[in-house]
Amino acid sequence: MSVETTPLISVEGLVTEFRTEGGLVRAVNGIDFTIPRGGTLAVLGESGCGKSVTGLSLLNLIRPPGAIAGGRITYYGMEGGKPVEITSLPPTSEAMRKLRGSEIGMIFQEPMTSFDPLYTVGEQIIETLMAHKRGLSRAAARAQAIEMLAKVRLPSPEILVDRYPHQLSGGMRQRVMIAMALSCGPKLLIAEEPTTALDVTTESQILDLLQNLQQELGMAVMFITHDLAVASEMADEVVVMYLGYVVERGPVEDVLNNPSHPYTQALLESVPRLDADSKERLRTIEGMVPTPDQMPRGCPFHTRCRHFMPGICDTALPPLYAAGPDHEARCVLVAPDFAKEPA
Amino acid sequence: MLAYIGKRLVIMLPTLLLIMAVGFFIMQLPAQDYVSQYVARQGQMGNTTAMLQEELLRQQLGLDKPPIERFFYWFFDFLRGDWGTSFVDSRPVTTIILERLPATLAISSLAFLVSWGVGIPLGVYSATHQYKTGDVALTTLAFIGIGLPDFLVAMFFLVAAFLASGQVLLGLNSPEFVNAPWTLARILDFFSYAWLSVTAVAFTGMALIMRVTRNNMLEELGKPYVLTLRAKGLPERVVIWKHVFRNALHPLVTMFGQVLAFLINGFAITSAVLNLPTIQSVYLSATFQQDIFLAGAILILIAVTVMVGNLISDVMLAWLDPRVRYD
Ligand SMILES: Nc1ncnc2c1ncn2[C@@H]1O[C@H](COP(=O)(O)OP(=O)(O)OP(=O)(O)O)[C@@H](O)[C@H]1O
Ligand SMILES: [Mg+2]
Repeated sequence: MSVETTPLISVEGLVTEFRTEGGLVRAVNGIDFTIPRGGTLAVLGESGCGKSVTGLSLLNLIRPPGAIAGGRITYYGMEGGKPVEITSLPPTSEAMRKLRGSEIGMIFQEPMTSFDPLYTVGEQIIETLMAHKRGLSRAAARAQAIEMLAKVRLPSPEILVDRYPHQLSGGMRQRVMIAMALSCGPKLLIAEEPTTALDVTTESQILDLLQNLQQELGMAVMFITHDLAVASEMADEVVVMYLGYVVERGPVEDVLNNPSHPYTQALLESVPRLDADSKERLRTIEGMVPTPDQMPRGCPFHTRCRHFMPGICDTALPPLYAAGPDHEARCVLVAPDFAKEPA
Repeated sequence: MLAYIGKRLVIMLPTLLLIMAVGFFIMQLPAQDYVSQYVARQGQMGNTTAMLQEELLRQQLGLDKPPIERFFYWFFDFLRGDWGTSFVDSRPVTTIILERLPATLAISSLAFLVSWGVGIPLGVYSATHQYKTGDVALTTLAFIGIGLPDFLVAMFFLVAAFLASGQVLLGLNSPEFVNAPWTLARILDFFSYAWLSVTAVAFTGMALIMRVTRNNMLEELGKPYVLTLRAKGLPERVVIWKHVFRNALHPLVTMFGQVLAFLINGFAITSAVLNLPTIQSVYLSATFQQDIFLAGAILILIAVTVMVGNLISDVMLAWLDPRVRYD
């Protein structure tokens, strides 16, 4: 495949497991997706569905008692175009370390606790640069760090560079986090709920900043979120996860305007809308998310599904059926040969 | 920073005054004093004349004056460097303390160096190899070390050394060297005795330091910033030593505040058991015998080292942690 036709990264049948006292937990259960160069994929789902574990798996950062137990993650963004199979690199290998931060960057949910409190934010950017760029002097790294702080539109970067994390506001810290993650020019940025801990105004500023930087730098973004509005604003493609499975995926407008999986439908109905009739009641999804160690048989969502069909949904895991162009859903209701229930 | 240290030093003066006063009066609390103990002991040995001299003795030692008056005499003499005379062996308190200072510092600083120097790296190793064989072995060792008091360990070593070589390693030198000058032979002889007390004291100290280090390291390793550091591709060595270890130092630095006091006040029972010529063994006996000037002087030394130690650890914390520095 030529560079033009390969994606930036592809994930095939990824399985990530954790050994816990209650048994083996499959946090990610055979998921597939690709992210094109410069594209944005949103990974959407409720708490505990495996979003963070997916993100960390891409960086091969799952540590014992967890491990990637199956599947393949291939990164095609290397200089020279040689594909790198991330899943075949040992997590502690030097080759894997070099990919982290320089090819694939990551930003986290909690901008306070995600910095080492004992070093200035400048030092934390400088050490990132120096870990990846051979022969870079400290002074040059510092100049680049200041440049990055300016790039994320922080005021007086040459002063901020010597500040400690606790001296900055949440929004500023998240900007520094972005500057740090982008300092080595990664081609993929994994953004793990980067605005969840921020207030609404700051959130929209950070989202704007991310979009601008993405256009400017041409990087791809994997946007992990449980917020449908954020997903629809940021992403081209969306993957909806439930209990470690991809239950629906497709272009973001298709999936959000025309949800095919009952879980996605339920998610959309549970979001308050400003333009909606105020008398219309919000529906919450009934029941609790089963814990991953009590994985339901068959379709993982059948215990909460309002279209649950005994004998069908609780026997076999449905495959992903086409629900439109580039749009798939893991539900027998979407199957072409499925005899629709009599109305 | 200098202003802060100066302020702390100024606050230390009234604290010290208070400790001196309280310490002095606590020494007076028991109904018996040194003289009545002395007379009773003499009486038991059949010497009844001592009974008749009781009041005279008290006058000689100044114990007939009211406590307040005695306190002020003692206090001002103390400031002038006259720390009084021991009732028990009639020598100046300063002489007794100075005589015992070298052995005390030698044993305790060796024990300190070994327990911290070995305990910290082992604790870090344990935490970074959690549940692996090495960690399990070290954790078990630490468990034993913390569970056993150091004097028990010392007694165990004493018996083991006796069974192995027939030597009784009490004290810090063979009898022929006790009053000899410090030649190479005496130094070698010193180490052939000192290893026992140093290892016994260092073993429990090391166990504690190792456990504290391991726990802090594990707590820090679970924090989100560690994930950030790894996600940005720092080498694991840098993640551990530059970041996690420095964050884990906090409680160790707080403990470091007690190290100075430990130097002259730790392992008192071990000192007594092994008959070490240290300050702590004389402090124990002076307290029991109500040798108040000697006990009081040592008490003040301990108080001063506690205060200075805490000041040092606070300064180190401020150096370590910008959140303390900029509060
Ligand atoms: N270190 C771990 N040990 C054991 N189980 C884990 C561990 N990390 C994650 N899991 C399991 O993996 C599942 C998925 O976790 P994950 O953190 O990916 O969820 P998430 O979608 O990111 O949720 P949230 O929105 O709350 O962040 C969880 O149910 C959790 O039980
Ligand atoms: Mg998460």
